[in-house]
Amino acid sequence: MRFSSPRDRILGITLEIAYCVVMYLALFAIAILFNILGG
Amino acid sequence: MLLRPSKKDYAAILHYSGQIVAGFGITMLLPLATAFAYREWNMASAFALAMSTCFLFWLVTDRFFYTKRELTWFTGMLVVTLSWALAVTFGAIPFRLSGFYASFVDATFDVMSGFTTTGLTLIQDLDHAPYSLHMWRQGLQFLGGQGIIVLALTFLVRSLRGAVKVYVGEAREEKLVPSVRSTAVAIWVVSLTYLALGTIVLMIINLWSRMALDRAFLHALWISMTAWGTGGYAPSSLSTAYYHNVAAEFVIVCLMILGAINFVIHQAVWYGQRRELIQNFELRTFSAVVLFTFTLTYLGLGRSDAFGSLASRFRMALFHLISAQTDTGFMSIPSFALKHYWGDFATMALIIAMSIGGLACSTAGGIKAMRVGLAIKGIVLEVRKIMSPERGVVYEYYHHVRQHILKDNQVKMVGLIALAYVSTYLSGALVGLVYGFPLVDSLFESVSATANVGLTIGITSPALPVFMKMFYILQMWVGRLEFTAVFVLAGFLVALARGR
Repeated sequence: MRFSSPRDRILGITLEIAYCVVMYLALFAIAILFNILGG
Repeated sequence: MLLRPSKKDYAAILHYSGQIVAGFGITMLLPLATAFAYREWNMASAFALAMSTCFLFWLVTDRFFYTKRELTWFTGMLVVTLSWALAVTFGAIPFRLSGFYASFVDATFDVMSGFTTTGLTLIQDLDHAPYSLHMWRQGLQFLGGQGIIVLALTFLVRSLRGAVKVYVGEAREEKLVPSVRSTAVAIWVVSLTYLALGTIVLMIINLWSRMALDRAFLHALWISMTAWGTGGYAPSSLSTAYYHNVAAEFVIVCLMILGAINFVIHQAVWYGQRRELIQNFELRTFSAVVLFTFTLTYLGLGRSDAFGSLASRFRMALFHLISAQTDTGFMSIPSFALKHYWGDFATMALIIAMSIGGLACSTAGGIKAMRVGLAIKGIVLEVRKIMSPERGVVYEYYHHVRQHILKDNQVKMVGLIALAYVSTYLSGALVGLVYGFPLVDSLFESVSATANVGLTIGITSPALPVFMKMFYILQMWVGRLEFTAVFVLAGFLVALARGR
């Protein structure tokens, strides 16, 4: 089968890891919010 | 009327199952090589015996049942169930011979737990297990994440006629590319790439923590295998608490999330459809579910007063929630701490997360985010139909690589599969109650087994009654194959009994 180019693949992997980091930060923001609200 | 297979169908089922079992036998070369490298002769002979059994089965089926007959949906499903049953039985041979399992049932339990990427374990004295045994346990979960049928289609069975039927039978509904074999290859390319990346990063962290070079490599490889495979086996009885390292936990969290993402999305993003990460309906649903279940978990931990500071509470909630939501099963605390310090609210939040699980066509289990999203869209569609003019035509759309219209039969299938999952969750909980375990504990362990998670609240141990072990084995199996293939096997047995 034909695979994507190395550039596409590296960019794809970077974006997927970025998605994980964004999720991490979003969850951290929720934690801070509830700490402020006293939850 | 239920159909009974003809003699030619039986030949096809045994012939193709034999090929898949032979492929499974080849995978034992990796632990066998590890046994030789570390001079673990007892384990080397155990793996050699198990491999020989697999090849003997293949030789017999190839000699007496050779056929070029194409698989039907019915026989394809039976090939899947038979291959899984045989692989679990033959895979348990090295476990039982290792001396780390009290019985063959315990060994079978761990192979099923490994293959289904569950992570519940009945091994005794894990911390003193030989390296080759660790390689086999961790490798089982990596293989199980991809699926043994995918493994066979990729490397072994070039002439399987009707391959799509066994591919779908292993709960893989979507193809990444038009050909089934190319799809299987693409799944392996994605998996091996992330396995290599995870191993390199975790190895650097292990070396930084002053681990010896070979142990740093092996631990990094093993944890990457089971984090990506959303399996949850670890080479230590402390699970990931053994590493006691925030950086390692962060890498493991990333691997678990990536492992729970649909292979179709990986493929799309790698081929330049980068907006899929934002637009994909299933990934959006998954993200929303994670935000919701994390909030519940975090609030629940606040009620139990066990984790005072923001950092410790966040770290505890994040790691276990992601481990539960992606159906992995890593724990950074012992099971008794989960039972006594988390409280019922946070525990219920984990149960909700485990029951929903990750994305379809990934290494994760559970009902799946796609089904939850489609169910919500189905409800919205019905409400919109009622509120629209009677002659009006109402549609609901969702984006998954391309735009789709929600169809009635999709909503019906979502309802049926979700009902099957919930019924199995409750059945396991009832069995736990019969044996005297508390309700929340029984439900937790039952959901963990069916959704192929592996988090334990302390019920799963070698002292578990044999019937519960067998029931959990069945739950893990039906949960991984998403019911259809196992139901076809049940239908086949009914047809046999009726004689039609």
